[in-house]
Parts: sequence; structure tokens; C-alpha cells
Amino acid sequence: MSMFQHVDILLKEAKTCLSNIASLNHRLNALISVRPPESVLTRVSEVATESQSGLAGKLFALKDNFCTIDQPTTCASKMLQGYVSPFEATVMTRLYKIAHAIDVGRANMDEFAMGTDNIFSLYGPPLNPLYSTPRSAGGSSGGSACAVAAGMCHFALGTDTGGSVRLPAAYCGVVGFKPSYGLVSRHGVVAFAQSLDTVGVLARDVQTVREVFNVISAYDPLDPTSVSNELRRQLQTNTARRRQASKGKYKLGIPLEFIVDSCSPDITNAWAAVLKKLRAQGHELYAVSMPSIKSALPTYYILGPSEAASNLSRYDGVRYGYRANVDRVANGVLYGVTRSEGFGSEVRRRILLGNYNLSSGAFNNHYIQAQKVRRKLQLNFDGVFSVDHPLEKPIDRDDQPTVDFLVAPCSTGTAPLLSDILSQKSPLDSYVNDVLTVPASLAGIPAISIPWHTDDGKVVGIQVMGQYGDDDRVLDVSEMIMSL
Amino acid sequence: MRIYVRPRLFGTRNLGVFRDAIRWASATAENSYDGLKCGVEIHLQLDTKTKLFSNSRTSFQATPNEHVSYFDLALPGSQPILNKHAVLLALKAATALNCKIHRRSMFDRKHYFYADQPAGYQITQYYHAIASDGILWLQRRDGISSRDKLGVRITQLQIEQDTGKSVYEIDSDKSYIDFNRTNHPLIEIVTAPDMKTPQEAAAFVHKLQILMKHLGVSTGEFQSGAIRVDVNVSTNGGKRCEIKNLASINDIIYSIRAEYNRQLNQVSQGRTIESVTLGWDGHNISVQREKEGSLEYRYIPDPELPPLLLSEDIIRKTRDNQPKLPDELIDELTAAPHGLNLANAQTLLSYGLVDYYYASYKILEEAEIKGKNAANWIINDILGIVSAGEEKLLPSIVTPSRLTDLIIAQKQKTITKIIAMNVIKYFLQNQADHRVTAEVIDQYQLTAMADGNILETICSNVLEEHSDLVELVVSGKKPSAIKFFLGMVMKNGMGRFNPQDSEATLKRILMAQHPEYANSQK
Repeated sequence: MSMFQHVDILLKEAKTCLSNIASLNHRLNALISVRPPESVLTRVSEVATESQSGLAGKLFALKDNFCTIDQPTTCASKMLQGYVSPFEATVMTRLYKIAHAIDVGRANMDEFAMGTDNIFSLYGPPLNPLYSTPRSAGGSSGGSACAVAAGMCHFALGTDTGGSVRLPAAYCGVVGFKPSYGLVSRHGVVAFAQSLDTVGVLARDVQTVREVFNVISAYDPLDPTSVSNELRRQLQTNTARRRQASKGKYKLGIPLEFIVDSCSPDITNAWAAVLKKLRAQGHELYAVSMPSIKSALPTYYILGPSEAASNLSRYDGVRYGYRANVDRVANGVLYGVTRSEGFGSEVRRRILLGNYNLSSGAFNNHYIQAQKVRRKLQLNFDGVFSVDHPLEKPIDRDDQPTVDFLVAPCSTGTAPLLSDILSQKSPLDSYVNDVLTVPASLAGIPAISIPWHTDDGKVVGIQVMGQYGDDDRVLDVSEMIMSL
Repeated sequence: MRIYVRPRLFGTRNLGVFRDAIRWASATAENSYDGLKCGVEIHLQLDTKTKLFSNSRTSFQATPNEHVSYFDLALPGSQPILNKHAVLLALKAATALNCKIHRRSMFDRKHYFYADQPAGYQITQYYHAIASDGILWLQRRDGISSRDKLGVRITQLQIEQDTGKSVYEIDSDKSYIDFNRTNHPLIEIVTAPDMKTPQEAAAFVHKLQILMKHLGVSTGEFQSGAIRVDVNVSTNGGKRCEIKNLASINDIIYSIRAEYNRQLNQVSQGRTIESVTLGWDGHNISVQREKEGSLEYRYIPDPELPPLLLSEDIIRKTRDNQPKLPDELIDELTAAPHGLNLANAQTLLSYGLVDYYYASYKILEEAEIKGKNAANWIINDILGIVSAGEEKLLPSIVTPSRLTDLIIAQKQKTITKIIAMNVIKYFLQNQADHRVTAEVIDQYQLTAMADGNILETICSNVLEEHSDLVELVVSGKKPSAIKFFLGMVMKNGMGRFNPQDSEATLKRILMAQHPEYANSQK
């Protein structure tokens, strides 16, 4: 295609996105800040003439916890309102300079990424664009999923700590990918729980997700948890070898512990339908068991808040961010006022929970135990996958069948009504939504939510999980499922 | 050229203070510390170029907040990257303290809120430190007097971050925070309560300072805050109290004495000792914080930092490459053939000039120049004329060969000692000039003038100018006034004439001019 045609197409796509933003964002509240349309179009033209490859000139939204230097990074919190970072996240630099993609706005989120319905936001919740009734867009990357589903951009960046990319993707009917921990740099991503936080990608198709992942997955010397080049080369070799060996036919696992009472019929029916189609395509299905999954949710809610309490200790108003008029009330705790006023209710709840778990009385019983369960869970996954964990010694897997990937739902129901959520008696009611997503987070393995359209017009997120490092093939399977 | 007088030096003052303090402590009956047990916790800044988890520069007294990185300020999205040089220095310290090195150690977060702690936590090593179970031996020459040998056990050595500095304005409710010091690498060294007198605690700290400076691990100076000391004191097996932030050897000695007395007073009044934290303001001991155990630090392993893994190889190499330690060097210097006295040996060591001395000694030995020339020149003369910190330049600027050239020239009476000192000063001030000594001496026509006529003239002129004083000398009222004339001759002769010749010439002229003086001199 000629360059002019190329520029034309990109401009047309950009104009569609911008027009969707103009007409829908006011109601949907997906983006909390938007670039001026003229500047976006100018940039598209500039970039399109420079490069014809992949993502050049495509538009994306970034969750409000990715640092950039030209706009405030607020994490949807009063605590960081107006805070402009002096440095940008590595993934932003890569998207700007390598992919030549263009950011069109900052996406709504749960405050400091803590939440499952994006209701804990300084800017109010986004609305799920698939429904006319006000329904949850999921959390914490609700704005990112909503923006993609509403056609406001080609793709969006989110972060997934316990399901925060996969769950909103499921609710909004888009693809949401959480790569293996350590492949995508977290430098410049505001930390919630550093051993769990993973940069994720949302888009309407797997191909786009793959393109973005290929750009942002790279070793970063500024991130101490970034996977080395040596390991990445090894993973590539593994992928090539396995692709050749499997020839597009897979052994797929049905994790028994994912069959939970709280799953609605919509979910279980969709799950069954997918599995049926997969078997019809010639893939083998196996039931597998990972007993530690039963403890995964409480484990996550001990470890996550513990790390969060630690990571959020820095917000005191002294060097940046919100600062109350007084540093302490009489006989009160230093910074008590600032932190009580600056943080929302869910964040305060999790900090308290985290501090409790870290206090010397509870530490051995809660935190240490949770770490042990986490380790056991990872070994459970290693036990069911047919491919070895690249960082572990190979284990004995004789006693049960092993599979290439796991196929399960992402959420226990479709997008709930916001009114139902807001009238919940206990915050715990929201926590249980994470039961199907936290296992992959705790184990650090790649996981993706793929939109499955049921015969009765609903859309359900189907989750595919693979062994650590098997990201490319998880995307292969996802493409295959989307084509069913 | 000026004639230099030896000023009291920065470093010698430290050594002097220490010796004074130890003398005092042993003078006051040290057996009056029955039942006393002390342990110390020492924080030492590591002498690295950059900080522990970021690559902003370490500094001292720089413009506030000039050396601060995003991580130091705990900006959202910033992350720690470990400085391996800090680990190496910690390893050197632990090896010299005979510690067991743990091949696997971890970094933990210690949480507390304070304005000089930006992240709301300090990264330290609480659960698994890099080293433990070491020992440092003290002997009498290290300043202990109640026993021949004392082995102070090192229970733990850990790597951790330093905090920022709070600066308070007088008469103001504002305080300022300087983050230059934030994240400076530290090692914390914790001992068992093996010290039984204030003197022993002071001796331990002093020996540790010398050892760490010798290894290049830390400058170990109190003045720059490179070393900070907390002391734990208990009496008669009771609860221990902690005195925090002692800023000098004197503080250590006097505060332990005061705390010992405070505890004895408490007990004699029938009260039990509670575990408290105390401060020392130079005169008084005061309780700062009750109930040491009530602080909740919520220790958690840092989720972003992998375990620190040390290979057998690096542990072994550190041990094998350890330089001779101070004890061994002092033994060598005080024994034959060097035979220096303890004070001089300690001086050489504390200035890091032992190798310099050895090299100079060797050259002189090969030139068959006998005597303690190298030692005397370095310790008595050169250290007197260099300014604080300049002694570091000696080995590279006033090289052993340049130094020994000067010593030999003086011995051969080619130049005077004063000229030699001036040449040394010249070398230090003109570091780009790499010429050998002989050339410099020649160029400045510094060789001792053997021309007696010129000396004669100078002496005569001096005596004429100060004829009033001549009377004092020749009459015998103040014979020592001849020293004044001598000084003037040296000055006018620009130090080129040696003192002995000058004095002899003066006396000869006086005797010739004043027969009564000649008689008195017989």
C-alpha cells in the first residue's frame, strides 16, 4: 500500500477514536484526561510518514499509574492529584520511541490499583460500554478496558496485580493479557504490590496485544526484577521448539478448583461451550487438580495488602503530593491527617489490613504462612504443566496428567450492576471476585482473558493460563480460541 | 621562603584526644565499674562513590539536596539497584572482623515514619545479615588496662541505608530536610556486651575506626558522621539501657560513666532498672524514650530485591587479598629493625603512611644510611607541615625516592632540613612538576652555601642591626638570645646555611668583637 493510503487509514482510525471519545467519554468516564484532538492528528500524520510498521500511528490509553513527564500521574487518588513525575515509565519510552504509538489519554482506575470494580476512584467509576444500564467496567484497570471496548483507542496499558487487567477485560468484552512476571519493566509504574504487579495489555484482538507485548517486553537495567536477556533468549528457544512439536494441537487442562459455587450459570455454560468447541477441534482435555488454589484468595489478601502498606508508606506530603493543613493533631500520629484525607476508604482499609499482617504478633502466622502457600501454589502449577518452569529444577509429575495450558473462566459472573456493588454490605463481597484471577498472579505465570460471545448475546471472559515464560504460546492459543 | 612551624593537626588531635581520654579513664579507678557490661552498636558509612541503591553520589557537607536521585526521594515508580561496591566493602569489613560470611543474605524493610525517611522504611538486613559471629581482639597497647587481652565478639554485621538529615532553625517551628545523606551505604556492627569499663568500650571503637580506615572501608571519622555509636549498658545482670548517638570517644567514656552511676543510684534507691533509651548532651544523661520494645517496625523482606548471593570464590578472594592488618603492622614497626615507639607506629598507621615509610626505609637501607631517618622525617617533620588531608598525597607526590633524595642530601649537608621541607611543600603545591629532587634543588639554587664569606657578611649585618641585643648575649645576661640572631641569619640566608655553621660563625664574630664573651665561652 502506498504511504498516502497508509497515512489515510491511520488518520481515519484516529478520527474514529477521537470521535468516540468526544461522544462517549463524558458518560462512560473511561479517560480522566484527554489529549487535544488536533495534536493527536498532527502526531499521527508525522509518525505515519516516518514508519509503516505495526503500531506506528496507533492510539493508546494508559492507566493513570504509569508515570509520564507531561501530565500528572495521580493513580486516581487525592494523594497524587497534580503530581507530575520527573521521569517516564520505561514502557512509555518504548511505546513512544520504538513503536511510535500515540497516547490519547489517561485511563480511569481504582485508587492505587486497589479494587475490582473501579468504584474507588477520585474521578468516579467508568461505565461498562456494553450495557445501557450502569454496570461495572471491572477493576482496577476499568478505564483501560472501557476505552478499548468503546473504540476510543487501539489498545490500552493496564496493571494486573490480582486480576486487574483480566477482570475488566472480561466484563467489557475485550482481550486482557497479563504476561509472565518480570518480562515487562515496572520502572515508572507506581507500585501497589511489587512482587505481584505486572504491566498488562488490553485490545480488541490478540494480534494487537501481541504487537504491543513484543515492544514492551524487554530487559530493563533500571528494574531490579526485570528478567535477564539470557533467560529471554532461552524462552525464545523453548517457544520455537514447542511450537514445532505441538503443531497447533494442545493438551488443555480444566482446573477442578476453579469450579466454584459462586460461578453464575452464564459463566459455567460459556466455559463448557468453549471446551466443547476445543475438543471438536482436536485438542485434548484433561481435568487437573491444584489443591493450593483453595487457599489462594486469602493468601493474596494477606500478601497484597502487606506489600501495599509498605509501598504506600512514602505518601506523607513532605516531598510531593497532597499535604493536609496540619501535620498532626494534638497527641496524634505524624502524617495521620494527610494520609487519612489523601487516601480513599479502600486504600485505607488495605493499609490497615497489611499493617496488621506485618505486625510482630501476626507476622509468623499470617505473612510467613501466606508466603509458604504461595510457594506451594507455584509448585502445584509446575505439577500440572507439561513444560518445566525455566527457573526451577524439573519435578516429578508421574501421578497426574500434564497439560500445555489451562482453560477456565476469569470471573464468577458477568458485569454486575453498579447499584448492586455500591449497596454491598462488606468489602469482602468484592474481594471474592478475585478468586479466579489471583492464582495466576501469585504464581507469576502468563494469563489472558479472551471475550467469548455466547449464543444468547452475552460476553464472558475465558481465561487461558500457561507455564512461566510460555507467553507467546498463550497468545497462540488465545488467537485460536478467538477464531472458534 | 617562610620557615614553617608545626601546627597541631586534625588527625593527631584525634589520636591525642584518644590518648588523653584513655589516660583519664585509667586514672579514675576503673575497678569502680564492678558489674558493668557494655555492648556497642556502630553505624559506619562506607566509602563508596555512589549510594547503596541508586547512583547519585555520596557526599559530605555538599549543598543540600544536590546529590539526590528519584529513588532517594521515594518518588512513585522508582526502584532500587544494588551498588556492588558497597557489598564488597562490607565483605572486607566482615572478613577483617573474623566473621562468618553468609553466602545468602537478604534485604528487609524496617518501617517507621519520619521526615528524613522518605520511603517510610529503611532498607536493612534484619532477618539474614551478610555476616555474624566475628571477634576483634584488644590488647593493652590498644588502650585497655584492666586485662591483657579482650576479645569483643561481633554478633552481627549488616548492610543498610543511611537516613537524611534534619536541620532545625533556632527560634523557628520549621525544620528542613537534606536528603544528600539518604541511602548512603552503611554497615551496622553489633557487639556482644563484652566490655566491662568505659575505657574498654572506647578502645574498641577506636580500634575499629583505625581498622576500617586502614581497609578503605570507611573514613571512620566522628566529625563527618562517618561513624555513629550507640552503647548498651547494664549493671549487675539487669536490663540494658541504650545511649544513642554518641559523637566522640569522650562522649562514649563519660556517658557510660554517667549511666553506670545513674543505674547504681536507681538500684540503691530500691528501684528496678527499666529498659530505656537515653541521650547524652555532653554533660548529662537523660531518658529519651520509655519501653524500647514498643516500637513496631513491621519488618518485611523487600519484595523487589533478590537475595544477595555470594560465591565461595569471592569470599575466599576477599580473605586472601586482605592486606596486613594494623596489629600486624604495629608489631612489625615496633620490632627490629624498625624499632619505632608505639606512638609513632600508631601515627604512621593512622595516616595510612606505613607502606610509604617502608618504601622510604628500604631505599635508605640500600643506600646504607643508618638511623631512624625515614620515621623521624615523616612523623616529626613532614606531618607537621602538611595541611589536613594533604598527607594522602605524600606517597604519590613526595614519592619515597624524592623523600629519600632529600634525606640523603641533608645527611650529606648539601641542603638543610629547612630547605628540604620547603622543597616538599613545593612538590605538594606544584604537582605537575615531576622532576627529580636534584633538579629542583639546583633550579632554585637551594644547595647549602658553603661560601663562608657570604655567611660572615650576613652574620655581621644581623649583629649590627640588633646591637642592643648583642649586649645581652655577651654580658651573659641572656645567652639564649643568640637563638634570635640565629633565626635572623636563617631568615636572611633563606635557610641555605645550616644552623650549626651559622651559630658557629655568629659566635666567632661575637668572640672576636667582644673579648669578654670569648672568655665566657671557654
